[in-house]
Amino acid sequence: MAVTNAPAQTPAGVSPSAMSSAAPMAPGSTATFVGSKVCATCHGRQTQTFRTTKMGQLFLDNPHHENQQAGCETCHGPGSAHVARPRRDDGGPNSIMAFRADSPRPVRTRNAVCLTCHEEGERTHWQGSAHQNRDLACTDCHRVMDKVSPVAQLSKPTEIQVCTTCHADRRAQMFRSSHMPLREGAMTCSTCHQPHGTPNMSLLRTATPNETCFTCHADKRGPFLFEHPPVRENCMTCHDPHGSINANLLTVASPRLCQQCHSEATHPSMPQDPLSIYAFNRGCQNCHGQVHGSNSPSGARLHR
Amino acid sequence: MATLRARLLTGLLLAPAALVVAPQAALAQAGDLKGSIELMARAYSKRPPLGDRAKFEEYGELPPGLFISGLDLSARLNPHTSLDFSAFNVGLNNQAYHLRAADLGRLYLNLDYAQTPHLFSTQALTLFGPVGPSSLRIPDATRAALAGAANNTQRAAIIEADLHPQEIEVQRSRSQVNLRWIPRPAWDVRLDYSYEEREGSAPFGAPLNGFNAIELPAPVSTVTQNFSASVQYAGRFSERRRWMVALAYSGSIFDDNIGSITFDNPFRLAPPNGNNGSANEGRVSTAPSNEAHRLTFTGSADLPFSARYVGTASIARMTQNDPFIPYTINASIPGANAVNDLPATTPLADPRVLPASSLQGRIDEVLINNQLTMRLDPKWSLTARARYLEVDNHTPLLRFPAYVLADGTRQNEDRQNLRPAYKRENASLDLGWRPRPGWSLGATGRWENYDRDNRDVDVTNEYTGKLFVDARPRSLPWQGRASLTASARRYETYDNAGNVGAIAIPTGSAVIPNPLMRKFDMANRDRIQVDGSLDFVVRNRFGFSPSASWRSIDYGDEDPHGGDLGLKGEAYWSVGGVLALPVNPRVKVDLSYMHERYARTLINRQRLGGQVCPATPIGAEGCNWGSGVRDNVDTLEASSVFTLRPSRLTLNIAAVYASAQSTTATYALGAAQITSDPQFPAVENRFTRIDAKLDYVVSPRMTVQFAYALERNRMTNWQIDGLQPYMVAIDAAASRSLFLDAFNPNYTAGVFTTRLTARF
Repeated sequence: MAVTNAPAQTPAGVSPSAMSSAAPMAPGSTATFVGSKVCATCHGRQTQTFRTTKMGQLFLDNPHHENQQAGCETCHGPGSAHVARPRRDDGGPNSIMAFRADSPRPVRTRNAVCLTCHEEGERTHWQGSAHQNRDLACTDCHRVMDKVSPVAQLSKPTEIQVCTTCHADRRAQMFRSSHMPLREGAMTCSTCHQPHGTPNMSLLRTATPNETCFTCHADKRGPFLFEHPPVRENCMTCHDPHGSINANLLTVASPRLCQQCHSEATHPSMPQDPLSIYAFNRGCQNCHGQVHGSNSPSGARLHR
Repeated sequence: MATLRARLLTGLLLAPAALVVAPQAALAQAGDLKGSIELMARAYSKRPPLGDRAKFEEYGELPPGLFISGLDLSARLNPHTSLDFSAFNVGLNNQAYHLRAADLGRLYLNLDYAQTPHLFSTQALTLFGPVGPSSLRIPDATRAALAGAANNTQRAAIIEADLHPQEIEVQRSRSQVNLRWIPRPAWDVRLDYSYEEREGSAPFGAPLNGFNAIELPAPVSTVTQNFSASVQYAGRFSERRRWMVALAYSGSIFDDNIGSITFDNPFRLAPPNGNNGSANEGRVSTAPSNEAHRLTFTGSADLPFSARYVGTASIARMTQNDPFIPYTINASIPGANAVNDLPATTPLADPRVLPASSLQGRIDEVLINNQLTMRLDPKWSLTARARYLEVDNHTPLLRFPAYVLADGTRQNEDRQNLRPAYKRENASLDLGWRPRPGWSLGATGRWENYDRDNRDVDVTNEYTGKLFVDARPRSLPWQGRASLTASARRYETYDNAGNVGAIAIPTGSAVIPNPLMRKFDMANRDRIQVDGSLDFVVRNRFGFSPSASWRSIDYGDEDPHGGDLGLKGEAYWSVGGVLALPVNPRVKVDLSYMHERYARTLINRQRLGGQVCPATPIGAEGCNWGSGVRDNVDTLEASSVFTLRPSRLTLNIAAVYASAQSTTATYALGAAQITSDPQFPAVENRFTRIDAKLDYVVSPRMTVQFAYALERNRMTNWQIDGLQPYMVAIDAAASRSLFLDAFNPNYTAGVFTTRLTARF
């Protein structure tokens, strides 16, 4: 748990108030701050790679406010005990704080360090979110000490690689014939999802699944004169946005897709010959092209 | 040649961008300017022929030649100011440019421009030629020839001779600016704006005169502008307890530049002569221009006893008021009744006979979220959530006393617009227990209520329970996750005729949905899902991560051959695993495999109006027929890294193989007419890609990569395999229909690339 205590000593150029507001110190800690230059004596490579990141440039060279002034010790805690007796984090009150997966400290404690600065904005809903509930550490997805990804300091070069570490089924879907341009690099998981938590279903960025889709497909937004009611409610009634073997990301190919709900007398109620206009090519959409809604006064059957 | 010029021109245009960066960079110390340029040469051992290229180049062209595939410039103007510029695929139709300027910790400005094409077809054939932005016309010579055709055989010959290829593609160009300003640590201000144009064409099916489907290369010309602004303030109650408030506005404006599409009827060229299915042209509406706006307030507060509250309240509005097109473009169809003080025989092509000139559509949303998380003690946590979403449709109810079916015949049947709306409420409680470091267990209870208007079902309630365990024991070389979810949903009343039919068709219709149908998005539902995964790290980073998932959903009643109609059940299971195999310090191999199986079972009832299968509302149970849709998907990935000379020469070999088969078994449960069993042939898709890359580090500032990729996609799909633009030889009933034959997902490509990356 991040606890703030005023240290007895501060490194040169760092105000005592900086220490009191930023550094995570365990209860009972007697360690004091030594400054990032001391850390670099042994951890030169880490300091060098940290400097390639925006966070490193901010913390090491240009701290704007007191949270950033303690440099390495802002996150790792006061280092005097570690300097006196260098050893790995044992979870003790004077131990330097490590963020490795095998850290003796609970995920909650490690995440609390990151949340000291990053709890607001897009992390506002982290507490109670699906990933927080499943005990994910910030460092499971992010790599703070090195610039591995172009943005967001991810632990792997691309966001898709990070997300599909756990969501392997979604990775498999990317190789379906019908897919959105994820493997081509034109969009990523976070185009639609906010992995740090949202109040919305499936960690979507927007209030409803449809609003997410409308961000790019605003032509489907309407309101239409003749609505197709399930479309108004949820695009995913018919589409699987992560990839499908059916055209247009459909969960099932038409006409079977439509016959899941439609059994009007005559042609929607029939099995249909595969060599008929009701089945081949676009199936029902050979004629009912306005399946997302029509604004034509003659569009009640979604023909126009 | 023109393409090459375009690439060179874009490259030249990039130079000024570099010049913008360069003077600034010159101000910086020499060591603060970094960058790289990546030149790529591409050549094919086998390039897909033009007609096979659509799937291969679906989201970006891949021509042979020399390109700037990447450019990075990064400058630190002073210790706290950085400027980054990157470019990708310069001069190609999927090019992207990004400029990032930052006063670190205070101000971030992002400017982006990206193009993303969506290539639908390179083999489509059509008779139509565009005339203006919204009109598809058949050339006069073809019209004259078709007018003289005496039968289908002659017509087929004329059509085949006059079809011309048309590339069907939508090009998306998106410009975007994002600004983030942090004037003080407590404040965070963001402004975002994007402008996206879409131009091109997309396949679209529209009927004429009843049963004649005409597939159009429908023009697309739209602009979408999204914009948002937010301001956040974070304060402190005390040293350890914080609070935050944020106000955000977001808006979206969509403009369609076309309005409607008119198209010729290749099978009827003479002028129409009345209410008798004789249309010589048709008109379809396009997606109407519309707007959406949302205002959101968010607040959070750390409370006593390690509790935290987060709440959002949001209101939104979607509007649409594009002018209606008339009932029809066919001026020879008279009305049936006097409306708007006009004579009864006023043509339905006259816009004055419409009950309104536009929809004045409006949907309002209210969304309220409340979440309280509590840490009861170091081991126990509790999260309570409550959510209320109201989607209220304020669109006026309009009654259309008659409409025209496919521009051919008047339908003397009143129609009203259906205005679906709903309220959705959720409440849930999560209990978490972390008995020791690395172990996490949890239980969730959730209730969800839908209260709908203008849908078959008014109210549904769903109760969900979930248990999970996540283990990461420090002392053992594995970690695992498992969860079990079960839910039950029940509706209060299911009444399509009363809730939907009576509104949409107030005078009633002979063609009504079967009252036994239970639409799966509202039907009674029992669902159970189990997920699990393990990660073993044995020795020397050798790892094995198996995973499995299973879910089953039952809809409607439990009668597998009758009772409720529609989707009766869904099932899914998958097994897979990842194997990380460091053979030795110089060789590393990763393998992953996943097998997935989807299954759906449907029951339908044939209603033809005959004695055996009457078209009465319920029909005869003896006319039930069922179908099982089964999808099997196998995805295999392998990658290997061979370090031939440490820090110098590396060989990467990777392969992906994805195989999918979809079978549909259709079977009669009585007198239903099944053509064959299975009714539909299987659909198969096999995607293969093999990559080999040899990276050579010439110097710390220069690397060269030689690569070869073999990519192959093979699909067997009865829906498109035998398709021709004019289907008379295959389907007599389609003798007055015309298709594009647009879809061709098959290709084989062998590509050599060489990349030279220079860093400075």
